[in-house]
Amino acid sequence: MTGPQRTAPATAARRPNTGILVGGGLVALVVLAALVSLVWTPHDPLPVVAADRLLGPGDGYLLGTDPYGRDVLSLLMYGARISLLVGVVAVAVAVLIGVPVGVCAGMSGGRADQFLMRVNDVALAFPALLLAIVLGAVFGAGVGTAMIALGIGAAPSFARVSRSGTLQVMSQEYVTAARAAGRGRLFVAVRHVLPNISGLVIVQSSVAFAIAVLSEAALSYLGFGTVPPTPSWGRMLQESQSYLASAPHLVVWPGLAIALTVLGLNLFGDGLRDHLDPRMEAGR
Amino acid sequence: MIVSMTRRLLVFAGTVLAASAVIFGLLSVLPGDPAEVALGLGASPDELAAQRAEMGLDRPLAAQYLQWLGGLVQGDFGTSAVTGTPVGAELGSRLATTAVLIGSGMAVAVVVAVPLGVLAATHQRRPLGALLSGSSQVGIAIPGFLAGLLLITVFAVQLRWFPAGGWYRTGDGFGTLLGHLVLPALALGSVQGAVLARYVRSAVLDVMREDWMRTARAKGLSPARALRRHGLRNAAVPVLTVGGVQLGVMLIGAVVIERVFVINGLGSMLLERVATRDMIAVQGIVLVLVFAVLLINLVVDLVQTSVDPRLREAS
Repeated sequence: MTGPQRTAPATAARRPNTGILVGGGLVALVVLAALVSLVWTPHDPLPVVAADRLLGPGDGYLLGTDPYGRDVLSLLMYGARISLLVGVVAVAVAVLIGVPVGVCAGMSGGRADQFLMRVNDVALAFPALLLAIVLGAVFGAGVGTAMIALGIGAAPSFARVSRSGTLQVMSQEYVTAARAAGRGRLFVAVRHVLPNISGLVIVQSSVAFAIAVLSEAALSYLGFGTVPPTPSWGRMLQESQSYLASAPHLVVWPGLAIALTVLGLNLFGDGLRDHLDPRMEAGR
Repeated sequence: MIVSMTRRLLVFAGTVLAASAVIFGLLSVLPGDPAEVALGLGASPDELAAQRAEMGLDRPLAAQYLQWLGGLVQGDFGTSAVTGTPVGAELGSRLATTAVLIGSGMAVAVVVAVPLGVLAATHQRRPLGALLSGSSQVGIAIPGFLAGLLLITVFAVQLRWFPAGGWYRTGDGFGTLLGHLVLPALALGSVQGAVLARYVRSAVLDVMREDWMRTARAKGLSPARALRRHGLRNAAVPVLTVGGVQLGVMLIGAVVIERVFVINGLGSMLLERVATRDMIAVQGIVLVLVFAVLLINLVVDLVQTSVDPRLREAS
């Protein structure tokens, strides 16, 4: 990246950009839907109402009903809860495993670093979705297994990002100064390394969150996610497949929910990266 | 050069070995006894013990692992306890189907990504560039299986141009294969194409900022010619890496796409065998998938080094 340095005033660089605003807005909408679903949904999303099967939009159901007579809007709101839960837990697991490994590797250097990164390379060869299917086979399918597996699957990428961030911080003079002043490793890690790599970790979190939402949808579609009758967006898509001719709206709504959530998370992550490092703005 | 290649191959072999141990360990400690699966629920304890001895399950785990590994080297993936047939033969034919699917998906992705990314870069800060960047953002947000369901709804159910699923059988013509391939390849490739397009765009943008591109322009080359003559080859290096990673992503994405389109590939085999708890087969399938991902990474690494001489000295 060799370009002329952008010399925008510091205040202009701190203003949130369009990506953060639009992406954050979309994510906030999903969070709101999930929160509201805790206390209120237009209809009860769970019981089967045989008389109201496959109704179109309107008729007392804003977005129509599914093959079991359940209200699509209520199911979508409930599904938002599942998607966010899986995303939050998966990211938390990935951060808790990946960041310590990356920081340790970056701070120790030498053989320990090489060893940790080799282990990381082996772990990287197991795609999260495959891991979730295998662990689902071993421990039984369900949201719990899915989100832990997705978290473990995402951890190596966090280790990579934290390691390269740590290496950058460790080469700074203030770290040398802290070490010279007799500060211990733990102090340097907590006081200097973690705050300085937090931006990288947050950006990576929004990427991992988006991947977790996509993966949860795929897993639920395959039957490795939520257990019936708990609805999720992926399960709604699976149930819609037999009715593509008569009720195509059943694909459109959960599909739109997934796409907008992921779009929001990606825009937010990209926006945040540009915000934290304005020089990248022109490149992406 | 030879030293660095040997080192990479050794690292690759080590990683494969470690991965195989992880897969074996993970699927061996799980609840569920293969001998019980083979004999059914009515078997007596004596029959079970005999079956376990015959399957080698009474031996230490390390010995079982070495035996499995020894078989693998000779292409023997073991015999399924559920179906009683050798796993390796079916793996081969299923893998071929998946390879055709992924190859076509990758072709779609490249055809989508290169023009989209280059145009988005050359039209940066203009409406067309913004439109293309925006549409690739939307494309990334659509999971492949959702794209598949939408494609089926429009092109199979409504328009009836292509079959909604299935695969050709031996004896069917090339046209049948192509007909069954179009929608799954589009579902798999278009989304990955959107991801790839972003990397093409940023690689081309990086290249356009280089001094030697300005020199090429100063020599009197038009922007388009300078890009064709000097820019694209250099932009290809970072894109190649991402393309390789995406091939691995597609391999796993194919597991879901094969379910959507009812294709008898490796992914469907994995799901079928997981459902029947056929762990010997699951071990083999997961190993093949992980091996393929690692092999793709190795090939990308080696190709990248030979395309970009600077990396040769660095390693």
